[in-house]
Amino acid sequence: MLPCNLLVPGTGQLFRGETAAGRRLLVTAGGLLAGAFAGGLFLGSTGASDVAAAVGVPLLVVGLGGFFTLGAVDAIGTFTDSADAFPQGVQRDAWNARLRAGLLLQVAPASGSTDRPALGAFVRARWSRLSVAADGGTLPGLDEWWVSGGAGARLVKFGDLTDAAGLWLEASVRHDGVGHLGFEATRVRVTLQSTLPFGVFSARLGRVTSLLRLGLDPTWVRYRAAGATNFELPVSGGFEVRWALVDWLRLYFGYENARDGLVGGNYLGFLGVLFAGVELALPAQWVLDLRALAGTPAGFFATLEWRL
Amino acid sequence: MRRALPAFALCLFACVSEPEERALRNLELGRASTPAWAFRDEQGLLHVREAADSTLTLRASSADFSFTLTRTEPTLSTVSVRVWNLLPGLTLSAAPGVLTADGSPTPGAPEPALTLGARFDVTFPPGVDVVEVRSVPPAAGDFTFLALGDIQEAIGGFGAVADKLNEEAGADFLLLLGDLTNRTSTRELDDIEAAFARLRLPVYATPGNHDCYTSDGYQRRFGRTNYSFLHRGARFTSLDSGSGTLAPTTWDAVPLWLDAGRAQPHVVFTHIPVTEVNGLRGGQWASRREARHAASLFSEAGVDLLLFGHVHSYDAYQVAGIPAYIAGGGGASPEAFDGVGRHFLRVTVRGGVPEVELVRVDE
Repeated sequence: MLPCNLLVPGTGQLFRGETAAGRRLLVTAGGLLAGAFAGGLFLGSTGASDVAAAVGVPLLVVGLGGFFTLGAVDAIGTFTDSADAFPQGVQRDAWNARLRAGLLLQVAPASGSTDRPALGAFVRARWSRLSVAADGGTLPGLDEWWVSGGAGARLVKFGDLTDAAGLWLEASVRHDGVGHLGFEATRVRVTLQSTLPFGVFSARLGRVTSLLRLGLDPTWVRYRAAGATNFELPVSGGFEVRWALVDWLRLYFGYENARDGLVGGNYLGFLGVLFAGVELALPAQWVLDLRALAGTPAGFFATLEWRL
Repeated sequence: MRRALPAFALCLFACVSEPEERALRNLELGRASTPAWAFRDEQGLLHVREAADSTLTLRASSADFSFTLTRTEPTLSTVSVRVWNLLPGLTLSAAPGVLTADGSPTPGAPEPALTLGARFDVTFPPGVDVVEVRSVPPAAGDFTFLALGDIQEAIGGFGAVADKLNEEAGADFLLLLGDLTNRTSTRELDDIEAAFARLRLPVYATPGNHDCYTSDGYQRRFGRTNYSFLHRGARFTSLDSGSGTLAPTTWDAVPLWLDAGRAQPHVVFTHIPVTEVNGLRGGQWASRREARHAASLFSEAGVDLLLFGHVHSYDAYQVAGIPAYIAGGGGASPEAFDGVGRHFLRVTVRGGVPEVELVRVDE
């Protein structure tokens, strides 16, 4: 059944007798796959030109991201016995928490020239229509640090289940000072993010949330030795599927079409970073988030956060 | 979950260790031995294609090389050394009695079976068990070389490109910027070597991602993937970016090569662009952090020119203030909308400054 879920999202719901949900998943997944196929075809048939990439890459990111999301949703929905097995309503999670603050540890052995861990802190606050976020950190002992700040606004609300569900426009500015590697970078990231708890469709899918992003990262890189600045314009975005297995355990996985972190992309730079992780709820509203990243190089992130 | 995470990490490690395997294999390419003799080229600019008791076949990746032969069988007197891919007119020299009686340089005997090949009979003088042979490289000065990448599935149509390259009579050599083949199959490697036989100039190559499909096929034919050599007073450095990243062993060598090139014009060539012009498609190194680090080092070391392939088009831009060119015009699925088509670069190093011109094949 699992391969059917992943290859033809919606078949699991049809199998369970959820005809309406199954059909909706089938149609949506088909549309997403067609979009991704069109994007890939356009890229391939034009020799992957930069012009074609401006259209093809976003289609691939959204199309495949959405398709894989629906496959996972269908699989989880197929094997979920009953909505009663899980507390009703939307559980507090990273995507809908009102306030998050925490510390993070990032380890990416052999990331270019250093295997030292990065230490950072972050805070994020959300209201019904607005959000703000900031973070910063450093690689202790090295001339490397970053600081970032941004805000988001909800453009469209998805259902009445939670005010966090919707289409959000987010913008952030991040500056990396990487003196020991001879450069500093300022990145502006503008992202459209769809936050979709599947509980708005079916109680059985209430454990699953999809985060689908598409963004553009105009970046200015200043090379200290040359005194020269390069401009880069990568497409960012990706997807994340979050599964609240029980009320104290979240599993998630996804793909981030970005290559500028401690962990860079996969496969020559055409792909970004794949990730998977687990979140454990601790007493007093603390959460431990452990994440593995597949990229260049591989990396492991740990976050301890307080979530309200 | 306990089992899944280590397995996941192991899989990742296996995926990223490929370039390191190639980098380590490089170290073996400049060495060979039989019961009768041992060959060493520490720079790895000659790699061993065949080795037998009294014959040794090498392929050169530079016109400035040296090697040692050590006799391990006392009765051995002469080893016939055949070398491919020589700069036309290049001579080799050694102590008196080794290549020639008086030690004068010799171009060797023509070896028609090898592309740009010659045979040198290396003799061990009485009482001498170790001999050193070195090329007599062309004098420093202005010169021209050509560069292109990305032939891949267009090997069959490479004849027209070769003819156009042969029109550049004043060029010293061709830098192949990777993706010589599409899948690194034996047949493709045979075909591309046959295609190169049409060329009147030696080919020095760097591997592309399509040349890394088999573990060592490329290296057996074209030698080291990372290497650095001098030509007429200019330094050329090949970096193996066939996997979108440099191996740790390669990173160890980069500062040495960059230091060596500080006092000379220095051309760094690698298949995948360190960074692209815009980067929308992401046809560049997998990690932007690693790429920026490399660009910063190149800039700090005064690298004069960066040459890339991978993108099937032509681009002229700057990376960290260094002139950079993408020349993926070898014929592989040409990029639409750019109006360039098959092409190569003609680079003239004049007064130590590289000047780059675009040459279209189909005009």
